[in-house]
Amino acid sequence: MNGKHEMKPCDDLKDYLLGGLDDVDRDAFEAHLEGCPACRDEVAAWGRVDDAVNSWSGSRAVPETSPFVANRLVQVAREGRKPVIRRRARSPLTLAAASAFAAAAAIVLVSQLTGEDGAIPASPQPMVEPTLVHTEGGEIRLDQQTGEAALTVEGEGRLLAAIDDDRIAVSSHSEARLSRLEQGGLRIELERGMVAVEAAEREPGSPMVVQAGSYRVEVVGTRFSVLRASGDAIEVAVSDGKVRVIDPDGSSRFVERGRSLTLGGGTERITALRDTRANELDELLAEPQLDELEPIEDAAAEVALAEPIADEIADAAPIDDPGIKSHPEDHKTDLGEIKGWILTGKLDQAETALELHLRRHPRDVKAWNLLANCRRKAGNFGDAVAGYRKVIEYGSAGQSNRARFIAASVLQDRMARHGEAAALLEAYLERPQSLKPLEAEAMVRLARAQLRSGRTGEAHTLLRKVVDRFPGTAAALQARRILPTE
Amino acid sequence: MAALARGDTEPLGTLYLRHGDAVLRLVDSILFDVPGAHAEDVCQEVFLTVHEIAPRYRETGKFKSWLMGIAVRKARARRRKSWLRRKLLAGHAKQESATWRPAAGPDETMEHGEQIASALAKLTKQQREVLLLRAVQGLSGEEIAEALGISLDAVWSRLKRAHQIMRTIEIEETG
Repeated sequence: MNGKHEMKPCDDLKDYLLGGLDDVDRDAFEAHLEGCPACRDEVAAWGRVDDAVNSWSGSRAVPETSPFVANRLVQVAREGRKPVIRRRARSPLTLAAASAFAAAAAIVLVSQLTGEDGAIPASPQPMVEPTLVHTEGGEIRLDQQTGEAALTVEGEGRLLAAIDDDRIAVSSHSEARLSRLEQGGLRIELERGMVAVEAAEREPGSPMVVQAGSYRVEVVGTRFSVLRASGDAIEVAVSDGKVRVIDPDGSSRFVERGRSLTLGGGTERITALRDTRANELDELLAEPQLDELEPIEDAAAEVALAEPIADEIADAAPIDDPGIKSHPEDHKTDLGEIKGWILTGKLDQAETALELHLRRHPRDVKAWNLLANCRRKAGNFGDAVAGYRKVIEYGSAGQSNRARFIAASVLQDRMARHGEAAALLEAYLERPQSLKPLEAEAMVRLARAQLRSGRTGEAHTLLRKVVDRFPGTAAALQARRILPTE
Repeated sequence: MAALARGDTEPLGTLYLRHGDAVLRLVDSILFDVPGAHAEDVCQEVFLTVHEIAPRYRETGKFKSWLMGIAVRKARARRRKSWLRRKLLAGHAKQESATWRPAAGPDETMEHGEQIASALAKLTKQQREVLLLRAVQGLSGEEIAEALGISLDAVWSRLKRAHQIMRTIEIEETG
C-alpha cells in the first residue's frame, strides 16, 4: 500500500457509501475512519438506516417462490399469452364469505370406509350425473357401463360441473373421472392436471374423496384444489374448511384453511396458501362471466390495449403523473378491478362504480355485463335481466347471444317468468352454430319453459332432439329424465 | 439468458426460482402502501417481461441490475393503475381507495415495523426506490444507476435525501 492510500480524505465518503471504491481504496478509507469521527458517525448512521429498512422488508409476509408457479410461468411464456396467474384482488382467507356453498366443516373421515389396502372401492352403480354449469373447451362424457363421468379439458380452458350441491372444476390440460362410492359418496380420480372442489357440507355416509395418483384427499371441509404435478407429486391447497391427505401407506395429515401441502418426491411441506393458488382455485369455481366466454374478442382487445413493453422499459415518468389520465388502458384496467370486486363480494362498491362508469360510457358492453352479473349476485334479478338486455342491444353477435342465455336462466330459475325465458332461448337457438356453444343446454331449458306454458308436444319434440343429437352428454341425460315423466 | 433470447422458455422457471424471492421482496417493499397491490402478481409479470424482452438483453451490465430495473418499472406501473382507479372512484369506493397512511407522528406504541413504514411513506417514490435497491437488494450506486437508467449523481442525491429523512425520524423516535 503506498502513501496515497494510507489515509483517504473525507471526500471519498460518497464513493465509499455508494460502493464505488476498489478494494485498495476501500481498505484505505476504512483505515481513515479509525481517526475520523465525523466520517465514522456518518457511515454508522447509513448502516443503521439500511439495516432497519432491510430488516423491515424481510419481516413482511411475502410468499415464497414455488416450483408450481415456475412451471406455470414457463407454460404461459411458451404459449405466448397474457399471464393467467395474474389475478384480481383477493385474500385467500376471505373465500368463505364469497362462496354460496361455503358450509361448516362436515368432519367426515372415510378412512374407516376404505378397504384394508387404503384403496377406495368404486362402484359402477349408481351413475354419476354431473350437470354442466359452464365450459370453455371442456366436455363431460358419461360411461353407462361403469357409471363414471369423465370431465376433460384438453387444451386451455376450464369446465365447471355441479353434482347435487358440490361443485367441481377442471382446469386446463386436466382430466378427472367421477364415480360413486359404494357408500353413496363421491370419488374424484385426478388423472392429470388440476381439479378444484367446492364441497357442500358432507352428510355421514356421503364422503368426497379425490384420488391423485397414490395419494388420497378426503373432504372434511368445503373448498380446496389438488394439483397433480410431475411424477407422483401433488399440491393440495385449502381455502376453506380442511381436508385430510392420506399416503399410500395409510399415514395421513390434515391440511387446514389457508394452508397448502406439497407432497411427493421425498418432500412434505406445509406452507401458507399463496394468493396465486387461492385465486386460481376461486377462478376455476367462479360463475361464468359473459366476457370470459369470448376469448377471441377478448384476446384482440388485450392486444389492442396492451401497453407496449418497450414503453414500459423506457418509462421514467413520475408515478402520479396526471397526464396519464387519458391512457387507453384506463378503461380496461378499471373494469378488471371492478370485476374482482364482484367476485370477492364487494357488490355495492362494484355497482356504484359501474353506474358511474356507464354514465360516461353508456354503450360499454362489458360494463353492462358486469353490472348485470353484479346485480344477479346481489339477488336483484329484475335489474340484472335489464342489464343483460343492454348487452343484447349493444353487444356483438356472440356477446348478445350469450347474454340471452344467461338472462333466460335468471328469468327461468329465479323469477319463474317462463314465457320471457322461452322467447330469449328461442332467439338464442336461432343464431348460427358458432354462436350457441350451449345449444343442448338451451334446448333443455326451452323445453322446460314450454312444459310450464303447456306446450307439451313442442317440449317433448325438443327433448327427443337433444337425446338424438347429443348422446352421452349431461343435457341428454336430463332430457331423458324429463321425458318419461311427461 | 442466451437460451431465453433464442426462444427457449425452460430457463424462465430456473430464473424465477433463483431470483423470484428477491424480486418479490423488492416489489412488495416498494408497493407496501398500495392497497391490493399483489406483489406476487407483479413479480410474475416481471419474469414474463424478462422472457419477452430477453432478445434485447445485452451482457454489458449486471443481470441483477437489469432484472431489478424491470421490477421497479413494473411496480411503478402497478402503482399508477392503483392511482388511476382511486382517482376515478374517489368518493365511490371508500374502502378500496383507502391508501396506507403513516401515523401523524412517531408514537411509542407503534411497532418497530410500523415506524419504518411510517418513515418510508414520507419519502418520494424515487427516493424510496433507490433506498430499497440499496438496503434490500444490496446494489451499489452504479448498479442502481444502471437499473433505473439515471446518473450516479441522481442516485447519490436521492439516497442522501432518503437517509436524511429516515434519520430524522429515527432521531425523533429515540429522542
